[in-house]
Amino acid sequence: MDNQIKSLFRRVKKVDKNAASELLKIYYADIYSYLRRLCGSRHDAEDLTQQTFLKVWSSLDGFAGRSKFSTWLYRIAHNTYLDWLRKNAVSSQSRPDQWWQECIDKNHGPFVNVAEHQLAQRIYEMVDQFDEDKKHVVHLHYYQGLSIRETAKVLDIATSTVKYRLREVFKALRAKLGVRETGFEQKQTIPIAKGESL
Amino acid sequence: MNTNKKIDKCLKAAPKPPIPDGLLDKLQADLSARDIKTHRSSLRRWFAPAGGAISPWRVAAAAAIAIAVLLPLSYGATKTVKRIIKTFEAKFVYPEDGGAYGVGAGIGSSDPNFTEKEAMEMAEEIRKLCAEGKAEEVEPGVWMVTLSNGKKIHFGGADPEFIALTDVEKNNLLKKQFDEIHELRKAGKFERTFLKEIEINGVMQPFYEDSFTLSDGKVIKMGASGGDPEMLGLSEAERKELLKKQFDEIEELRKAGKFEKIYKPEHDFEIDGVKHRFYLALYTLSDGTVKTVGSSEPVKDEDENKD
Repeated sequence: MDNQIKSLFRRVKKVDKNAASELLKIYYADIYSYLRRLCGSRHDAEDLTQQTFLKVWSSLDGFAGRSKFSTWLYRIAHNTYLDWLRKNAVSSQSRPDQWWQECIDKNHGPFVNVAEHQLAQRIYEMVDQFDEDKKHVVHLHYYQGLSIRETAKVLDIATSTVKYRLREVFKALRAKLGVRETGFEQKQTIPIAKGESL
Repeated sequence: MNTNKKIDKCLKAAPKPPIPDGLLDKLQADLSARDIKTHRSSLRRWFAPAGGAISPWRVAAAAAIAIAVLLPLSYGATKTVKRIIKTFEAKFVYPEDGGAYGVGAGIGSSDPNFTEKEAMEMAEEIRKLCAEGKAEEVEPGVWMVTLSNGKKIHFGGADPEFIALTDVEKNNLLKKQFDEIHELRKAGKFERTFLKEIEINGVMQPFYEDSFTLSDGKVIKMGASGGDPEMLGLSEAERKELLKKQFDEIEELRKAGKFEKIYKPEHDFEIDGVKHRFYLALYTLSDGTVKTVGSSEPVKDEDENKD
């Protein structure tokens, strides 16, 4: 997959619009999902997705290839969202957007019972209430499946900061779920991608 | 299953929002309607419409052009630039045939106490923002970035993709391009278009625009003149010394406001609703030579009333 992306990107750099179209097909759904979850509006997410890709096509020379193309793409999407947030000055709390509730209601997914299903629903709601810093690490690392390192690159922060924020997220979620903290639980490792630890 | 594992499982299994019908078509249409910007000439925009430099004496003018055109755009259009600090400079001299090229950039401020440290930090932030694709083209050839402190910086004269490069990368790219231009010039492989004649020290000097097609397909257009006899016969070290002296003197004259302006309304532009006038600044140096540098200034209310 990586080689395919690199090959496509090399062709895009030579102004091959077919290759650009292929890259678009590979990534547009992920970028839309990321922005849709963050901004809370289908129309805004569509606009932001368009803006993101327009920036990508107009600044390809700005990508030096030191990171993965997807990381660079997410970084542009992230910055586009931040610009939008600044201009709109809307807090996530005031944006009712519970499309995911409908998704969960229609499809139980991996949740084997109603209790798990309700737990998932509560967790997503709680994540939506986090401040932007915590929310971004959850969205990128968990919802979008980026590694800790990729998440750090997108957010332009240290990997240790990503790990710290994730620990804080888990701590806050545990507290909100009513789990009593013990020394043992606090030391537990949060399961994350292979080769990475918190 | 412990709580952490349950949370982890839930987060990883978060549902994906449905993708709207027609989104891909919209994005494809955007792609078809827009040029993919890559492999563009970095150099062309570094040089003002007034022309860059090929002949040795005009290396001063070339570097000064890049600086002078970039800076008044920074810090918004409504403030008067009182202090300019160079943040990047590159010069390439080809003594065997008298060719020389210079490129520079800097940041201007309305604060006369603006420090070099502040300028360098700001330049680095602007560079990073450009690298992240956060520069927005607000007018053709005029770009804007928003700094972390909320300040909006406008710039022109260079593309964001060029500004995004580190100084070392800029130098390497420019050196590669100038080397190729130099070879093309020696081989006579360029197209020359006559622009105009300008009287300098009582002698009419022809000015041209030379167009070079590089091996990667980039087309670079640069101004050129008939050359400067004062550079002939000088060693490379002597040329560099003379060029530095000329740079410094132009900078001093600019600070003192001792130059003549020739307005070029065909190159006027607008930023955030504020009109900018483009002009050629003629500097008369202590040795009597006259150097021409492109620059611009915001139009004040009284200027508009005069018109």
